[in-house]
Amino acid sequence: MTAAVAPRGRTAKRKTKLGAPLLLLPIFAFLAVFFIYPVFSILAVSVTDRDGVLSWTNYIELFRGYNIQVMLTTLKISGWTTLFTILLSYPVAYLLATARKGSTNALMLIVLLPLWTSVLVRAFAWIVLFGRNGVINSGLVSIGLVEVPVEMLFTVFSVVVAMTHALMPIAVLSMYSTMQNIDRKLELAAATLGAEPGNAFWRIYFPISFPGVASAALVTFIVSIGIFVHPTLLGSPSERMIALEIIEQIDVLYNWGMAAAISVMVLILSIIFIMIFDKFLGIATITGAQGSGGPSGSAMRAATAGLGTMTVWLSRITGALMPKRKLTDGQSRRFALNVVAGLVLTFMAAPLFFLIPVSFTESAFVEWPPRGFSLQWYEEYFTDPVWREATIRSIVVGLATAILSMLIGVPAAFGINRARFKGKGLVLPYILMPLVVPNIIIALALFYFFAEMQLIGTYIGLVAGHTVIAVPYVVLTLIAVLQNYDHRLDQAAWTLGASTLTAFRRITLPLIKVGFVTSFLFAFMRSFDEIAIALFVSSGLQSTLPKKLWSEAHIAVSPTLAAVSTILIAVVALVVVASELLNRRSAGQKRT
Amino acid sequence: MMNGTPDTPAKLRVHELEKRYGEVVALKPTNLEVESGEFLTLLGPSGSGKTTLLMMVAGLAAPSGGDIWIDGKLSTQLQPQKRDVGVVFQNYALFPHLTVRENIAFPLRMRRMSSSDIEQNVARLLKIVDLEDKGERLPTELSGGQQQRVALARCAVYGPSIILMDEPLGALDKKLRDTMQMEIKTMHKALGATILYVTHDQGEAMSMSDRVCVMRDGHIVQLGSPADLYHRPVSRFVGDFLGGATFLRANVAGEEGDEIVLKWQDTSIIKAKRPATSVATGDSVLCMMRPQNLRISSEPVPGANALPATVIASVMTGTMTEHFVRLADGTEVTAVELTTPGSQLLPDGANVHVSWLPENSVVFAGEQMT
Repeated sequence: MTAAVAPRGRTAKRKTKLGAPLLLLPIFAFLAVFFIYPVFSILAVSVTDRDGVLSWTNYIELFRGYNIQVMLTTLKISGWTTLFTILLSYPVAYLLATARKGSTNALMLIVLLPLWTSVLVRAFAWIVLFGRNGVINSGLVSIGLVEVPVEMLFTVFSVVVAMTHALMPIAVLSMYSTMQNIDRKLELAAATLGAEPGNAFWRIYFPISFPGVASAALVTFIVSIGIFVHPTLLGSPSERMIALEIIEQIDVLYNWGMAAAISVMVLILSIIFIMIFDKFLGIATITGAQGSGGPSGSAMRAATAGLGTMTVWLSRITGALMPKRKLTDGQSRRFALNVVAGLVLTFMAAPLFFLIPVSFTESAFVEWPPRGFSLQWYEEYFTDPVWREATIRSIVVGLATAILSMLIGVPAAFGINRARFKGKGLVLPYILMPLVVPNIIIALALFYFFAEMQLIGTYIGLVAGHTVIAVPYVVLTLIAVLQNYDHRLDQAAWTLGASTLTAFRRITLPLIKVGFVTSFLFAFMRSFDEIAIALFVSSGLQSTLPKKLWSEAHIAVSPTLAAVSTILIAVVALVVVASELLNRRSAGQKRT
Repeated sequence: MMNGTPDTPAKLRVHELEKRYGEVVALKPTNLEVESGEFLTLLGPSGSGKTTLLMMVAGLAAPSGGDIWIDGKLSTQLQPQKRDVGVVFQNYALFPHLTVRENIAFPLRMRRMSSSDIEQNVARLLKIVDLEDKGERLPTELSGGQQQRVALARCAVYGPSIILMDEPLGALDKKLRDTMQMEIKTMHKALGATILYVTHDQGEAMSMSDRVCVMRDGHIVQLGSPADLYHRPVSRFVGDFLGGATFLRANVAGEEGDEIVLKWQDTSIIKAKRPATSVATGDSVLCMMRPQNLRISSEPVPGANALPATVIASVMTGTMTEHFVRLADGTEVTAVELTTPGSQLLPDGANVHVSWLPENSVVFAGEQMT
């Protein structure tokens, strides 16, 4: 650095020092008003009785029986869901992280397609598969394996399968973000040091990837607790979960205090799980930024060493039993991984496609195989003004949510990325809080808050609520993009005479615009698919598309839902392919 | 010898080893032997096949043909963990979740050594690499040089037949590199290890190696001691790659004893040592001179080759004083001399002569000129 440059560097530094808190101000204020304050008011509501007098009645009632039963069911189903989600997602994430660049893109498409497809649509798909006259049962009957259809729908099995299916994309992406940062050479190094592949995986790769596994498990579990769609549509009363209980306290019993008390209980449970996680791994692990992996406990090491030794012996035994083949050890292992991951990917993507034929049925029921060919269900969707208005409302709210999320999310991401100030470590957890609070609780809190503010049934209320949920994703995506962006390019532009604004417009923006488009789409999709908030905040006739789908499905799952789902799948497929092409084009630009 | 059975006790023997990726040939059929205790460096620009060769020896890339013998054992098809090799990777590949001690213990643990033996061996290696007080640290808490030493210790602790090093100093800054070169050399002696080293840095190769193997376009160009390669390169490529040199294009005019007479620019006569390949009068050849063998003076040095030149610049860099001059045809020539109290910087534009002795030049003819 020459003396001539130094003063300029100093002023620039002072500017960011002052600027960073300023950049973070909008998101802080927004979340304080629309997230922190409402959630805390819930606390107050929970300790007042129906007459508004301070009392513990809600909590006394809460711990007296039925709700505890529901809570235990919730924990049980969430636990199983988390276990299966993690077990199934790991091989896919591993394959994604270790596959060649070209195949990664194709695999990513398969992972993203269900992620971007409505939760409700995916739940419908399982109804088509599991129903008495569903795909699996007609298959089993027609090949003569069973005589009477098996009861799969409305069991704990169907609920756990559908919830696992719903949560897998997020778990895969969460693990992938950690695995991506693991140096592939570590496994090679272990091999040259004498570790057989089983040992190299369990002693080296798995412990380093473990923070990703743990954060995926945490997010899966917490989201599971707040789910009400799957137990309602695919379960029986004995699979009743706590989120539905909250809804019914409001919708049916008008018991605010009780709904709030249940929410507080769920919230406290979530916080306990998060604190346990934070104690062992550090909360920042959730962002996937900590790729290097910290020191792991001795229990962890003993377990992985044991697993390693076990795998090595297992492969030695199978190797001894199996006839000599042309495939080398590495090839056969890769083959096994491909088969497992292929099956899991089929599980992720295939169910959706069974909805498509059902949407063209002539029959008034959802059954397999569909009868004849008719466009009547599409006709119903396109001619019914309620469907049309719900669709338009969802698009408008989605766009507004995406714009608002970008307006407050973009400055925040830059603030976090560039800033060096005290308390920086607390900023990201604050912004990510809505991610780890079950949506149903945010919805309840906002319902109460908006009722006071006369915002129920307004666009403002919906957009604000959806932004609370969407903005953490925007910030996370942009931080990831900015981390890969070389800040020295800006400094180079400044020294070459560009003003801060010009440097941003001419250098920064062109390089990160794909990240912008992705986060915009992400925010839009979060809003477009959101149901808990819409359920409470949009009233009566003013429903969004997911709310309309939900209330229809509550009565009966008709082929109309399959038709709407098919349209949604087509739109999502178009968006995903378009963004993928955009990605590829910008990657091509980078190469030239 | 068709079956490739080794008849020397070489630590590593590579026989007709090749690697193709479809149409692309990464390594042409190559033969190489590394003796016990030897430090051999594969030197070449990127794409020369040096890393490909190393990776195949390590068992991390499958050969398209040929054989690899490690310590007299045919190892071509062996998995990396069954080969008796150690690899130091470019970024060290230290396990981030294990401490320094555990990193070094890892290969011993994989070999099911008793824990007391493991402890003893790790302690011994920590002492050799001078990290006795850093055993409980995580790799991320160490400096680049310290990480490098851990990587080497992790490799040496189980006494592999040969240690393979893939540009291990690439990530370090210049000063640390120089220190680490010396450290690696010292440890090489202390451990009595056999090392196959890959680099694109000629200074690194020359200062550390017993022998250097220069590679280009997937094959070995020349193999010999650093002095051999420097003074007797077999082609312009080797001569150029191993340090600065001036190349003059000239024509053979005749012979004079064991020297040949060259004509440069149809005006000047240059004498040089006879090249290895036979040349005929009129052939176009290249004459190479090292900068430290060139003298710059106002008058031609009697008995030496001398060409008139103009001074472009003259600088003193410390130990050396460098003169940049331009010949009549525009060729720029660098000459260096040790800086002494008598060293003088020449004024720009001064008319001078570049002189050198015939035995201080190398002539390349035919294919050697590439």
